[in-house]
Amino acid sequence: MSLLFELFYSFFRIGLFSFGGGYAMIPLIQSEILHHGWLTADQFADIVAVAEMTPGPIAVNSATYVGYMTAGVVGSMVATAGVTLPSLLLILLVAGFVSRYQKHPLYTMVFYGLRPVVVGLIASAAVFIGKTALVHLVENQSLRDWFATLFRKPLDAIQPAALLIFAATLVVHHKFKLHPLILIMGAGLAGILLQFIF
Amino acid sequence: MQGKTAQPIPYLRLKLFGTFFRIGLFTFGGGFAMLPLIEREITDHKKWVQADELIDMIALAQSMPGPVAVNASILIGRHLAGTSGAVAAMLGCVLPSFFVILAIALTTANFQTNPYVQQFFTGVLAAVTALILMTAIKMARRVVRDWITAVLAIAAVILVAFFRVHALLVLLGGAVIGLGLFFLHPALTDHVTGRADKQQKGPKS
Repeated sequence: MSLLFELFYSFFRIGLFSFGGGYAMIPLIQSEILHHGWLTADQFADIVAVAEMTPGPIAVNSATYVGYMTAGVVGSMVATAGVTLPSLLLILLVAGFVSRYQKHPLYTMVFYGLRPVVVGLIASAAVFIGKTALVHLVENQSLRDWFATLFRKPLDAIQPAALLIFAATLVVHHKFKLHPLILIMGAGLAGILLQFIF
Repeated sequence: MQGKTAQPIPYLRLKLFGTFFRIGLFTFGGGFAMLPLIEREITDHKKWVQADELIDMIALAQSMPGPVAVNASILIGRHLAGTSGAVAAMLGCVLPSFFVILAIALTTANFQTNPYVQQFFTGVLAAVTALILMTAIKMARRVVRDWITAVLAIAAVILVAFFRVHALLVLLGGAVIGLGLFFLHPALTDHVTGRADKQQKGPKS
């Protein structure tokens, strides 16, 4: 019982204090999990790798995984509930407050400043994913070193198959307006097929 | 962001759950990977939320603690069907991830080292990069209206993508600049508020 409470409380804190989503949440999740000794550092690195290949937010993935490893299916439910509950409670609390002032010029101006930043954050997410998906970056490699590699040995600096799929997705999405789900699955299959060429 | 829509949609909570379950099942590569899917399903196809409202909801989702994808589902669910809608959308968003991880933990399969799986995800992440980029461009077209918004958007990309400034700090900066403009630049405030009114009264695009 106390383990379940500990799981809930720990992941509730992760949900409550981690801002920015995705990779910005990893350090806090890691320190909570390692502090309790629920997973080893290697196991945690594994779960981060698995999270990249499974759907859903990494916070939810790690909550489910840690919960199961420490206290079985009930543990996974408790930990997942813990990590999502702060979002639900806070938003239900704040959204009503926000919508009450939606017509106020002050609100309009705050969102006038927020909206372009949000667009910038979305573009940054594309840069972050693209950095691991489209190019080969050696750990802590500077942009200059990367360009140097690009000119000397282009194939060491980029992932040709991934870049091809990236370009094809841009074109197909723009021309045919296919559903993103079809594009994502098609790109996955193309990834397998292109390995036979590159 | 009122909790009411013009016309009642039958089985709305069930549809919310189903839609977010489908979206949640294919959100690979972090919360932002959800945005192209949300845009397609919720804004373009079902027209549950207008494009401008969606941007505001994403702004809120990012400013709140917790996973952005979960926050976005809760906000959209609440907007359409109140508290029960928020719960339905959140469960739809979280359950696919929950079941998949549970299945992996139960079978203890080392599927992430399988070469075919790795190749599959090389392709998936390349496509996700392209889709998120397209979403950013599409939203930029709506949001960037003058030089101030253009500077803010570009500054956010540079600060976050290249100088690794925390997202929350950049959001705070945007909000403070908006707040400052409200107090220091009344002409711009009138202009922006006038534009917002016109958009709300105009026909739904």
